[in-house]
Amino acid sequence: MLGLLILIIYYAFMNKDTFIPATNNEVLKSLDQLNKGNRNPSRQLVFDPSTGEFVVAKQSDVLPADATTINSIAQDGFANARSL
Amino acid sequence: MNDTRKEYETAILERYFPKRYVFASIKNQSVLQVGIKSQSAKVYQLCVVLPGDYPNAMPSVYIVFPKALKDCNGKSIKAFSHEFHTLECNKEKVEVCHFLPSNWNPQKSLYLVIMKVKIWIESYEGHLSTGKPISAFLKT
Repeated sequence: MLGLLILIIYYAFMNKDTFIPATNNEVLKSLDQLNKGNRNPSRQLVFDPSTGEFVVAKQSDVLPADATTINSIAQDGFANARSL
Repeated sequence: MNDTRKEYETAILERYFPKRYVFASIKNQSVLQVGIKSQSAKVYQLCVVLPGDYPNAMPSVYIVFPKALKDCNGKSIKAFSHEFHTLECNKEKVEVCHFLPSNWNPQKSLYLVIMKVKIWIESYEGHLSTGKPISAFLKT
């Protein structure tokens, strides 16, 4: 029992900095927030080069200096057939 | 693209897309081929065509795999569509809009272009699951 408890505490601490992959729905919600003018959401989606996926990061999380957030990519807009 | 610029682009791609890209020449055109995984783990292949005067001119991006993407009704995605943010589309590929021409400058990189297309892909999958047009997710 004590061993199991130690194992749970170990994994809780080991994984506290692990970012969770975002779902497609979370990406769409993030884009929706940006479209509504909220450029400072409480949760940021950051590109993780090791997996090639966006992961969820809280505003309080310390991100690498070269982290790419979905906001930084999407905020200057997207072209469409009318804008070309 | 000159050698110095290619080294610069390669360094960024190696950082963010290690082992998922290759520069090639197809029909005398310089291209960058990149594999991208969506958040739902679907795999897409992009072909970024580099104009002769890149980075002064903006590259064109085609999704070449899966071939001929379908919309939520199972029909081929419309070409030159405001709703889908597409340009040329045929049985082989779909050309995706990315940077606004007014926002393009030589400081932008192929990495940023690929990230724009990654967001387009997420919006496309959002279209498949909700039926909303891609333009509902991507602001211009």
